[in-house]
Amino acid sequence: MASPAKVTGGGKLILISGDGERHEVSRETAKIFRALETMIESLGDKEELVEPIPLPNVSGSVLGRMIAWSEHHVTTCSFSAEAPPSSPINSEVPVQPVVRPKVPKRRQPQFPPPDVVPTAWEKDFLERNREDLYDLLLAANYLDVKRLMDLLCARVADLIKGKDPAKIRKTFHVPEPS
Amino acid sequence: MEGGGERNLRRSASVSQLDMGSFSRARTRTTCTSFEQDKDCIAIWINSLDSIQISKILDGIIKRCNLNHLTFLWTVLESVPHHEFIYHLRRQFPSVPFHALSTPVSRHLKEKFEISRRKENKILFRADSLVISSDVTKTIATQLLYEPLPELRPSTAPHLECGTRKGYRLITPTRRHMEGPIGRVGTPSCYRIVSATPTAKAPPIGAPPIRTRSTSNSPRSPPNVPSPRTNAPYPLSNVPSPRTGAPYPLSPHFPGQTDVHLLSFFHWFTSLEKDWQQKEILHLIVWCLEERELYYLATLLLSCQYRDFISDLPADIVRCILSYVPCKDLLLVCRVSQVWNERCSCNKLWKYKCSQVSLGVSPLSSPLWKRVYINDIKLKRNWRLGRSVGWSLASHSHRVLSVCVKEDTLCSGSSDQTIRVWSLKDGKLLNTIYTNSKNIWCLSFYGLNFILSGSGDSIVRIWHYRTGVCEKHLQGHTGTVWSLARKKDILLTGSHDKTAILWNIRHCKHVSQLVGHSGAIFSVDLNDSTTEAYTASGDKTVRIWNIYTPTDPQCIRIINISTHQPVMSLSYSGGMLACSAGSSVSLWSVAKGDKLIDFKGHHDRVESVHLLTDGPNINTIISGGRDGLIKYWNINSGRCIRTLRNKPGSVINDISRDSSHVVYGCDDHSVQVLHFEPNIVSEHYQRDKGTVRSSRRTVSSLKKGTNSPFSKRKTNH
Repeated sequence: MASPAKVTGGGKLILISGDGERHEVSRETAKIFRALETMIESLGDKEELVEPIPLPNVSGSVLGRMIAWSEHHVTTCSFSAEAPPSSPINSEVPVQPVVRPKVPKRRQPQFPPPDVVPTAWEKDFLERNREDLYDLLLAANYLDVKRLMDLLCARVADLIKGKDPAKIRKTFHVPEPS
Repeated sequence: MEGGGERNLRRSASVSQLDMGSFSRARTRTTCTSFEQDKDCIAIWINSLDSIQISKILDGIIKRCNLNHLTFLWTVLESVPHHEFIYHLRRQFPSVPFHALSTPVSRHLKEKFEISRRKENKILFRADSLVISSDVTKTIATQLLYEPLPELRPSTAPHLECGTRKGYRLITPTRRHMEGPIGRVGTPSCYRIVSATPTAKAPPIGAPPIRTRSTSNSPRSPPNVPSPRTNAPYPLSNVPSPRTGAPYPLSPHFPGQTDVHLLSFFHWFTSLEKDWQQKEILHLIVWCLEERELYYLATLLLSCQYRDFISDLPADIVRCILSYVPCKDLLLVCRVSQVWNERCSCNKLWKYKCSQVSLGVSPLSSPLWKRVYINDIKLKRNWRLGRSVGWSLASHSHRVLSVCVKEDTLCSGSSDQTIRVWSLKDGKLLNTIYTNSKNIWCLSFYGLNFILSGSGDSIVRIWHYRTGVCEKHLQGHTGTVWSLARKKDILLTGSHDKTAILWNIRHCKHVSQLVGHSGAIFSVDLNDSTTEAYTASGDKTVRIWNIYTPTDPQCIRIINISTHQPVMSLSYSGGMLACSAGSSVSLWSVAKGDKLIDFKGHHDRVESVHLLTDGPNINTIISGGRDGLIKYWNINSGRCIRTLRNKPGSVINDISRDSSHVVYGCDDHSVQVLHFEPNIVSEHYQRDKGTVRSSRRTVSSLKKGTNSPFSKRKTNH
């Protein structure tokens, strides 16, 4: 298990989280993380021995969820890197394809934000990870997963919406201003 | 031991299942017994760990819990008798929900501790939030508090009874001596266990699993039995580990490989399919914990609640989050705390928010976009409530026939042959332009410096209003020019000669003439893209012209507005036309030519209407007439929102407005200004304590002139 991974063209990559968990993912899946995209593309189709990729800022459990996210979106095809067809398989709401700029520059969170309508799966994903929005946000930002970023931001905004300051303080554990 | 051997076999089978489960989610657990066996294994394993490893388990397991599980843990922890700790937490975090629920566990724990307290008649001491039950431990703890114990010392303290649950026994060592910081909540991972004493009898090697059907309380263990946690003399220690083949669970002699076990354990935990199974595991872990670890779990749970997203996250992510929050809430969010206020007042964020609404105030009115937005809200409220400050500008010596306003400049044309230019900031007269034409019936700004005027001598003039020089004459009409409308470089003028003329104002060229009306054209308008022109005439109709090719205008629709009254005024916006005929105002659809709604309320002829579909007072019509009333109407409901009453008896000849002013010219030689600007209004209301709305400030003295019986234009025809 502790041996470095053999990477075949379009094969597996090994990601190592900050606390040492190893996750094996396919290249296509890892491409959802735009932070890794350029690196993966630079590998090309070469079959070579690649060291595991360390992701020190992401904890193991969060990385697991991120991978679950990307695996889902690889299978639904709607967010794959090149020219996504706009026909998600198992989502009720049509998903807008994300147009990816050619420049592999690290992108700031988009501003102003697009309107996001989560699919049924995404809704469920957010609901399952209610307690970890914070870590997921940081991880999504770090790995540059735009769609997840937008959804999470909208989700946090939902927590803020329609509350008076006292309630917000209660929700977010903000100390009372003295 | 035959039965024991069989169980051992079953157990090893269950461990291999555990192994499988950690890697394949797909496997289904069909039998409850295998799960129960796994549970036993885990209980033994956990009991063999030291507190650093336990804290690692807690760290990991909390991260994998869903909300349901966390609430469950809260429920359990609530009843753990660390009142001091709980009290402390409650005081510090009054908002954290500690559900005071009664569960079998909580009841049992409570009972257990109460019984032990009563039976043994012990005095409980408190040393820095650690509950100590006897003199011996008290001395030890006091020592601990002041000097760390140098070496492992077995405790001789009496012990609490071990827990029994639903007839089967779990091993719960309850007392350990600790070295290191005591009473520091939240950093238990740095505690080092010096010694521990089991309370339950450790099962002999090869014995059946710890779950034994017994209803009796477990016997006390002799004091010097080595701690199961440190030495792990457990039957399962030679069961092959799922991943490495090492004994499972590992004794702490192989600390480096415990992480592997932790991970496989977490995998197994997350792969459990049933919620209740995960809860059972949590339950079991809580059972195996000691006080310190329970503290630790409680602090972990606390930190697991929603964190302060806004203060902790990087600024760009926060901006992303806040951009999803509606402005109304955002203004409230600013009041949460200082940090939140700072984060929420980000200029870029508010710039975006301002771009989402149609702003009534100028973006340049403040360097801070938040301030711009707040001003905009106030302006809209002023419009809605009709809060305004009225100024009367008196300098003309005759009736004021036309007004126009742009930003901070106001122009008024009168029958005294002058056009006067005023500043709207302070109401000062900036310039007076002397014209030679008798009546200035219409005015419009053009560019920064020019003003267009239409007058009774049928000439349209272009003035430089700062110098007062007439730059150009546009000649083409043969009657009084009643009205003009300009969009971009296209000027449309309507005249008493029953025609309207299109001009290119940049080149001062006559482009084409719109011929067709059988009465004087009293009012004209253009759409924003200058593809259509609208003319209102004394023949009681409105004509819509296609001027897409300005040289070849075509009348595409004729709308009969009224049966007996000439159409006096017209205003186009957003695909609709507001027209006034007589005392009635009506709204028409341009595309279909249908009447949409009627507005009734004026008592005399309406001289001027303005339809507004954007800006601060969205979807309203402003109308004013000879009855001295200015009304604004909601075009959706047809109701009058506000009536601004002019002085009784004064006749309004023309209205002009921009986003924060309504300006009208009256027969009594005055120009009236209504300010809706938030700064001016709030200043005024503060001064007057909100008493008089209609108080007027006379800027310059009103010149008394004869009120001529000559009324405005249309009566002559």
